[in-house]
Amino acid sequence: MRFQTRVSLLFGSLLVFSLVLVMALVGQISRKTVTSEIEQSLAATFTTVNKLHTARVENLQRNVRLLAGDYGFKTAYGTGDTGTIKTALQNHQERLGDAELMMLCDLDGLVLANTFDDDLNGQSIPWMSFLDSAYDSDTGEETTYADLTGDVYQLVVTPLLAPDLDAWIISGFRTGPQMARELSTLTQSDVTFVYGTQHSNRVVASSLDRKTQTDLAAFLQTTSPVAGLIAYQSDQETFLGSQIILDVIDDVPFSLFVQQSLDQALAPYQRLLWYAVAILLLAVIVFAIATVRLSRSVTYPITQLSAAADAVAKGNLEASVTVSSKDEIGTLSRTFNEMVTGLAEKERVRDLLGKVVSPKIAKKLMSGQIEVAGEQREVSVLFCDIQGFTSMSEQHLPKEVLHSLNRFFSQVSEIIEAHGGVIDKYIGDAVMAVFGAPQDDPEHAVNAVKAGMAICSQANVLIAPHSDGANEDQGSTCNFGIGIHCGPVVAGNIGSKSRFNYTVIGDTVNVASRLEALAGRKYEPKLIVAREIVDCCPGIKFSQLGETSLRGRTQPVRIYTPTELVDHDQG
Amino acid sequence: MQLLNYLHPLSPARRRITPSQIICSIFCGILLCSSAVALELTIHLNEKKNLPLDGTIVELAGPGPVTASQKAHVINQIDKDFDPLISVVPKGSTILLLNDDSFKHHIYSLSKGNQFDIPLFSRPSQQEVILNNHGIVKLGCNIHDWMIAYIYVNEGDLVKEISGSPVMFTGLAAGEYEVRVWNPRFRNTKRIVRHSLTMVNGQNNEITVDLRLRKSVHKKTKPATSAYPEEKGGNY
Repeated sequence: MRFQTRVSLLFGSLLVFSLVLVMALVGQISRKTVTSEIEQSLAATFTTVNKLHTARVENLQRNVRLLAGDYGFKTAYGTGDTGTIKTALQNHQERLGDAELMMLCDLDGLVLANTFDDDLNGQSIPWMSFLDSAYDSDTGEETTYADLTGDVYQLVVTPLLAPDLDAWIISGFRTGPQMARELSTLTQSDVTFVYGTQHSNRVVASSLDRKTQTDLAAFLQTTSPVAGLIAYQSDQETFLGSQIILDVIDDVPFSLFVQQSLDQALAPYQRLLWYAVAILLLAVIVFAIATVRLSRSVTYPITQLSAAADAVAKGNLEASVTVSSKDEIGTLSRTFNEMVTGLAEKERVRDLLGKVVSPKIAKKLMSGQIEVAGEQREVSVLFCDIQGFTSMSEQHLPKEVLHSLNRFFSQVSEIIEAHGGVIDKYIGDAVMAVFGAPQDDPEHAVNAVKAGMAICSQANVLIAPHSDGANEDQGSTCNFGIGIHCGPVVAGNIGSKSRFNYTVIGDTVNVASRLEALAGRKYEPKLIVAREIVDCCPGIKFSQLGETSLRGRTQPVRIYTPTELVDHDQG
Repeated sequence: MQLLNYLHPLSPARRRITPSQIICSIFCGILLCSSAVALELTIHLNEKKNLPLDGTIVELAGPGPVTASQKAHVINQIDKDFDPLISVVPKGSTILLLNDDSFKHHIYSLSKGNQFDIPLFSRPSQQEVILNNHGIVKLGCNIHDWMIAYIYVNEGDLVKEISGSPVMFTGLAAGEYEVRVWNPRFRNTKRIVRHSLTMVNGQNNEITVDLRLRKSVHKKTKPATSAYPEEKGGNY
């Protein structure tokens, strides 16, 4: 997998994971917070409803006390006339405004008159325990809930004192939808009054819509009353609610259920969640783009560096990368270019050195393996010189001469290097080569002789008008001579520390040079070797040429010329 | 609790016996003596919680008319209260209402058969009402809600205010009687507990009447004299 892909996946996954985790935590915390707030709100709703209800009841009691103390009403009561008492009750009920029924009953609970239903007159009220409680209380007053023709009423009983307890005035208001709506508006919670047991209950009044009321009633029938917060669903909306029992009417509980919509409360957080999702998606997209761009800014230069390094490894020292930034990648690119430049320079130096000195010497020099002090070695030295080159140079243009010379030297160098020798130097029209230094060569003598024989057979000195070799079949030729000798030399850098040449010096070199001077001149063969060479080349036949004295030596030297390679393994 | 006025030697006579009544009595006595011994009735009053029976009126209504008192029975209003709290008068008696307070009272009664309304009178004015029906008459003041007085209008000659049990009536002749018991601490002060019985010659009779009393009278508490505290419903 590509680095860019891995980086993108890694950081993208981290980003998505982090955001999703945050969203999940926010969602969970939001839900807990909202639930807690709803619970507190519902508790406050109960308190508020109780207080509102109590205030209304107390207000009603105060007003009815005024009626109970009104002499006009007492007088009307004293008539014993139902119609008169009823009108008095109606008149006062209208004055009160918040009472929906009033009735007067005697101390035995017999209804004397009422504003609710004339059929109740002469009947006993079913709430004698209510009157008994009032009778036993300190104030003679009592409140209760009562089931009246299917509706639940909050009743208040007040003693009629004429001048002592003579009758009861019962007033009340209905627990109806209007009350529920008013309470709902004040408390910001939905209010439902429920009358009945768990398995048989009905909604008496509610601020909910009809459908939700039905669902609530059905839910309450399936759920045992529990303290605390309960949840139910209606029309795919979740509600949280709480229930308290207000009173027990004829052994049947009358309770208040308050609720709030959890979904509505979570709506702002839900919107926040959607915003978060949108931000997440946007962040992922932006992050992906940024990651790709950032990784590309790293991988692309690295790819380029890799390709350039590969090209350099394959020998292309002109490879380079574009430095497009000032960061670490830019530094790496710049450093790479400098390295390649250095390598190219080094290669040029090596190449140039190889042209100046033998590539093997150049390699040894550059590797630092050649000491300035030098070393004694057993080598073979070959000299090759062009004869009559000077006079011929006079007859041709310098350019033609140089070309011919370089051509000959190229041929000779190629042959010498092919046989493991190194060009020590070019001395005018002569070339000096060494076999067995700077690298050891046990067959240095054989190789030197073979190189000499190859030069004699392959190389030629052709001086012709130079026109990029187009006229090489024209012109004149020169002969050359080769001298080879082997023996000990001192091999090393000759010169100072700041400037030196790698070469070999010693008698062996001198003898080789002298032998070359004889070749093709005093003696006909182009290649002349000394006796030591013959002894080192058992696989080559030599023809003795005689003994000769060499300049600088006191003893005559026996000289030979190779005639035939006998051992082909040595060729 | 106020004692029955006619028992007090210094209190005004509750009734005056006419000569014709004396003659009848003697004649009846002769007949009785010639025919039977005087009977006794013992009435046991049983209060469930053993609360005091003070102020209990026991009437034994039997044969014979009741004679209204010749002299008016006085009920005074003094210091924003009625005096006495409980009065027992025979049917047809006159009640004289006096006001010894420095301000007016508005006296009323809504008791069935004995209703009256005397608005705002003050001394030296006196008001009279005649109570023609047997039963309980509750007097109140429309201005001062706590003021209350009870008048037991009896029908029989035999009536006592007692504070304990048993209650005995002696010298009774055989015949049909009705025992009537009332107390201002009844739950329903308009109601009289009635118990019918037949007195038989040669036999002493005993009955038990169950009562259920409150600890105190049903009425508003009179406020402190220095100020009128704010009313907060009835205080019992």
